[in-house]
Amino acid sequence: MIDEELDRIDSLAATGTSPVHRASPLSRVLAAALTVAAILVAEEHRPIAVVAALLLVEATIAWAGPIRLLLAAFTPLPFFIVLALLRLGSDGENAEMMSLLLFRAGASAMALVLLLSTTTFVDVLRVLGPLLPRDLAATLAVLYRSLFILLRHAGHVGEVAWTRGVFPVQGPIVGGLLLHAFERMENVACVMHVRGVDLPDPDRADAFRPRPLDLLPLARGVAALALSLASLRP
Amino acid sequence: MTHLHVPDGVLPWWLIGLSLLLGGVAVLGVLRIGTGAWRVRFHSRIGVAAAALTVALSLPIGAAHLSLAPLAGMLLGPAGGFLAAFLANASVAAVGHGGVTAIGVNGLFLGLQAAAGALLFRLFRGPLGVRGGAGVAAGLVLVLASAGALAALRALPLAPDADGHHGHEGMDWGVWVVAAFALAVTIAEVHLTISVMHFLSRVRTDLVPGGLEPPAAAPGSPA
Repeated sequence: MIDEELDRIDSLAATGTSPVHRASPLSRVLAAALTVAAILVAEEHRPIAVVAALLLVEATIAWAGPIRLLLAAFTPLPFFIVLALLRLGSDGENAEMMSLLLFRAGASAMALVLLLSTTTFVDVLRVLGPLLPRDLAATLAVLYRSLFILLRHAGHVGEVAWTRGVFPVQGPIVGGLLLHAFERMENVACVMHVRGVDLPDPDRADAFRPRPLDLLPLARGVAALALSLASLRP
Repeated sequence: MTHLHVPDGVLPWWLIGLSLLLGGVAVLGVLRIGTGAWRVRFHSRIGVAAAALTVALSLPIGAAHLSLAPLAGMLLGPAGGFLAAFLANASVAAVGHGGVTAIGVNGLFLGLQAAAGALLFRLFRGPLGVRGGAGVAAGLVLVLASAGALAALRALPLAPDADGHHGHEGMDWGVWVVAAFALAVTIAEVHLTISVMHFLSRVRTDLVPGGLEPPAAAPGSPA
């Protein structure tokens, strides 16, 4: 379930002390970007498989659950089932292209899940902050916080509904959840606005400060991109 | 199927760039709406609605899931609904649900559904009431979106298909399977949208454009 998965990823990122966790957030975000670029550039299965293996090695070093990371590679599978139903020829035409696309999508999902398993959302926002408008960063922060409020409250409401024998997906229950989160976040946002703080300005400098362990994720990203480029046909 | 979750590595670069540009311009436009405390509340509501959409987009119902984009549009208006849907798509992309490079395409597709849901609800809310308006608006948007998603997936140029080898090779029965599945999910989402809007129109009338639904006339009372 999403609440357990989000909790797990959030907890891994926040409490991890591995060498990967101790690298700067900037290096981890850069490594993820380089890895995704490498995956998109690749035109064959082999370099993508090697990149996926690199991600699994890093997940093992980071204690970020390599098996779960491997399972994350199957997240795009429903899309490909639909795509196969719509595009796959009855004689298996397009099958090779589809498998390459599936490889790319799965490896890219692994890179992103590894990033969020080793870097808190706040740190990702710190790194992306200079690129994003201030209001957008504030709205994303509200999104992340209210996600957990909604999930916790939905869990409680769902348990109560089941014990009363009520089907839990109904207007009053879903609407009540929305109202609860709306009112709570509006109160927080208005109080912060009155106090002159529209966005809790995070300590950005720390996210950008280089550290010796930055070499670990950066080496993975650079190696992935170099491998991908080297495998391109002339 | 009412929305696209195109993953990374599927779309060609020109489409990725164009959709990101369009999406970025639209998002920046929405962020400029309003001032002061109203703006703060507007953005916090967008954040909460985006979180609700993120939950809906991530909870599987069989192999599919709801989107709630038209509902977000009805509650926040076309601009707010668009931004909420766009951000929800970006947040699910961060956990591998849809590609991070396809945020533009996926976000625009879902965001336009939210905007269309808001506009259609405002159109039908008067003559049909809250439940009728929400049902018709959500139904129309989701059916059109499903048809659009099917057509797009059949016709979209895929990244390694650079030699112009486009779609339409798929099995015909495959289209019907996907369409039937999309219809079932659409019915579930329309039902949920109607019931949430009906509930909110009674307990927080300020959230529903048009306000409180007039109570049903008692039997024998004058019209």
